[in-house]
Amino acid sequence: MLKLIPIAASALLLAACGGLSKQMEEPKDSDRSLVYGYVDMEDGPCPLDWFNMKQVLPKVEEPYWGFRTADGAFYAEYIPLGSFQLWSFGGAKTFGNTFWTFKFPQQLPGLRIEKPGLYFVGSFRMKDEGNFFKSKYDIDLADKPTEREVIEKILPYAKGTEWDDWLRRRLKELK
Amino acid sequence: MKALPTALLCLLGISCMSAKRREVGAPSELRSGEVLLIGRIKLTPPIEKNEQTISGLYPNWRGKVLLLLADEYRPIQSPVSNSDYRGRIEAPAEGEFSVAVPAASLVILGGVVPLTYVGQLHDEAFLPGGFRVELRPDDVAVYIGTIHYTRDEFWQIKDVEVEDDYDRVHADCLQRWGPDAPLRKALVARSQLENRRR
Repeated sequence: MLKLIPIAASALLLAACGGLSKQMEEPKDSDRSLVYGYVDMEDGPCPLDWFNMKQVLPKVEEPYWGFRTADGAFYAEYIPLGSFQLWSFGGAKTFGNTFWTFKFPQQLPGLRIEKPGLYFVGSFRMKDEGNFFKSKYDIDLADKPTEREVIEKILPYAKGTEWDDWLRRRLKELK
Repeated sequence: MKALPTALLCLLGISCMSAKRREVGAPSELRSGEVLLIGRIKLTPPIEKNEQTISGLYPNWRGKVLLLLADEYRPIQSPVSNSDYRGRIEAPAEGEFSVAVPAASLVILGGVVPLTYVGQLHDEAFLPGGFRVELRPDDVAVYIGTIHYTRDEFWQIKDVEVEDDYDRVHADCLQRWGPDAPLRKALVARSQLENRRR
């Protein structure tokens, strides 16, 4: 269990994270990686609408990287070399106009990207641990969906880019 | 008018947070039944400014490691309760802490580095503990060493060592307290398996 920290979503955060299309683009340079994963929000209060990582090394002025999301999958094909922490994710509940944001604790193993490529950071599953009086959510690592299943979810959005070839090669490796 | 409720909240918060160990500079400042405890917490790499988001009630916690103490070892539970913080040592990033403690042996349960303390949003990094501090009835001032934690960029603790800076610290005490500085060296040792929160 990762002991998520629920926080009130701010308009600033939403503005920073929202608005990414599902369609991937060609890499801007040869050092970019495609990072992907999945959050099962079935027991969560909202769908997965945004996901963020924070770059901790090398230090940069704008360390937060927003991800594209599609049907629980999160992915970003523009991640540079460096060290990254899973930072936050959330979504908007249609009825009630409620925004939910959850923050990962900072003392967690992170992702080190030392060479460009594909990086699967895992599948997670939201857990509802609240009751009638108080909502409480947490998250666990999950076996499903597998990396293969996550790639199949994001593959349509790689069409027309070199990421399509990368992902298809990875699918062959996973067979 | 908005300032008044905020001020009240601040006062309530401060009054609810249990007291830290009293910082003292010399044995002459000790009260009856107290011992002066000197030591240092060192982090490599040190805490960087942009790793902490601290506001409101806890501005003094920036850059500090909070050492949680108890009579006997027990794992630190998350979330850290107010009672766990009672009698904590607020160790500065640079240099030694110097605090008054009751004249009885104690255990350093572990360290807490506040990373995010904004309103109800709290996130910390935990440093393993289980260090026993053995005090003698005739102790006045005791040096416990430098507990040196080596970590990575994700706050994963890679190494813990107790380093001996007694000669330097003792020389400083001699200069400040005079030639009869009764500083006993009693380096801490790990008495328990490291406590893990997660």
